[in-house]
Amino acid sequence: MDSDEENVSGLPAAVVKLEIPYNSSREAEIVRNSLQVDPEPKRSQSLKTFNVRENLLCVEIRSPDVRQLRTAVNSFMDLVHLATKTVDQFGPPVQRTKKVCSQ
Amino acid sequence: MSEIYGKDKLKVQQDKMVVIIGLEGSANKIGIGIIEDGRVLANPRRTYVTPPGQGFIPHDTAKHHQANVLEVLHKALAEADISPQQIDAIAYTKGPGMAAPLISVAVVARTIAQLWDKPIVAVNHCIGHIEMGRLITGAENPTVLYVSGGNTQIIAYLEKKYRIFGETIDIAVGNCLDRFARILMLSNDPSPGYNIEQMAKKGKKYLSLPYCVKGMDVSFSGILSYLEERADKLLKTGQYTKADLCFSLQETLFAMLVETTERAMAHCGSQEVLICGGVGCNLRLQEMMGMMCKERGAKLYATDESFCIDNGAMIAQAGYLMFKAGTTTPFQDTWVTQRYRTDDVPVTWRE
Repeated sequence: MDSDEENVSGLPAAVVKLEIPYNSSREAEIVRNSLQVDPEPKRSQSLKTFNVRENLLCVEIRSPDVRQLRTAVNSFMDLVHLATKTVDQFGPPVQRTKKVCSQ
Repeated sequence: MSEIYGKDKLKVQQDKMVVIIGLEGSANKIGIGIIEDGRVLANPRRTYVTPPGQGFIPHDTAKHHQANVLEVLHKALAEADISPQQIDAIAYTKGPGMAAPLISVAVVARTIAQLWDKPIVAVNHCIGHIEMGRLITGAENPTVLYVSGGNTQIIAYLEKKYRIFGETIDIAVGNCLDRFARILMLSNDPSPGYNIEQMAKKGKKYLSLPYCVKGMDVSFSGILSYLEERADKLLKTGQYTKADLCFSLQETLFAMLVETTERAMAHCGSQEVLICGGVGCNLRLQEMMGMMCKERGAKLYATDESFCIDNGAMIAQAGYLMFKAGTTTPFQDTWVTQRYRTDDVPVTWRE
């Protein structure tokens, strides 16, 4: 975690970078997709960036202060854990079929 | 928000049996149901029960769902004796409800949809209750009284929408009952409403309470405040027993609901009433509604606690109807929303 950067409001930003390994890049993508859909809560000033590097899911969470960062990381970790457990128990992903295009 | 499949694909869907799995977790119940063409194959459920005097708060409820959802999912698949390949689509509750529990369940829905390569159907919780009630009871075009811990609505179907004819202007009737149970420190197991119902059977002395019908709408918060201020004293002086108060509260609340439902029926010329939602399994409410229906020569439809109270099958059933009508939800639109009105949903599956 580093807090030497300045954010828009002039306060030092608090940042955490997570790297979570999966069995395959597809599994990492699945977890990313599942967690990316929900918008940040209305009053939250935290920002999440997702990246998949090979079988790693890389997430960066950025908040205006440490207190808000802690809250954001806390609830995010709960959901990462849940999605990962789901992949472990109900995976591995099936081969994707080609989608029928709608006209 | 919804994409329509091409005609060819739709035809294939209509020819074979359709299996839908539904995930529900908008309040303190986590339920997963599997439905195959109107047949409930499995419908396991877990309830987050808090100690007497306490309600369920979003964060703790989400934790409960996170801890239980996968076990319930295993159970549903095992009970239905179905493999993920046989499932046609994943239905989940988009809203309305508490955000944290909704998201927890939606994350699982999205993950299994990707793992199994299945389309997703986002379902409105209220529509789930209505459609499950119609499926179980066979009611065709009823006036619906939807009463639960979070919602109180009088609904009728008109031109592709479930229209809200009347609703609560403050708290839900179930919320009023739950919070009154907390005042009396009644158990939340299996539910506060059930324990009030049992106690009310022994009540004899009626305490006159404010009666709050405003046109087609109802209001419950004032009744709750009235009791909050007086319950302690009434009990301590021995004027009324807990049973008397439970009885008085039920009689007042349910009379208000029956009155507004009757007015909606008269307006729509309807001869059917369907009661759904968690409070709907209260037998005294069903009895009072039954008397009104008898006087009007109308029919009352209600279900027991397995389908009245939040469950996964109701989400699967609404998802089934939407899927058959060609509606699925693009992945990027599978977010959840705390507010989602019943009349926001285009009812594509009814004439």
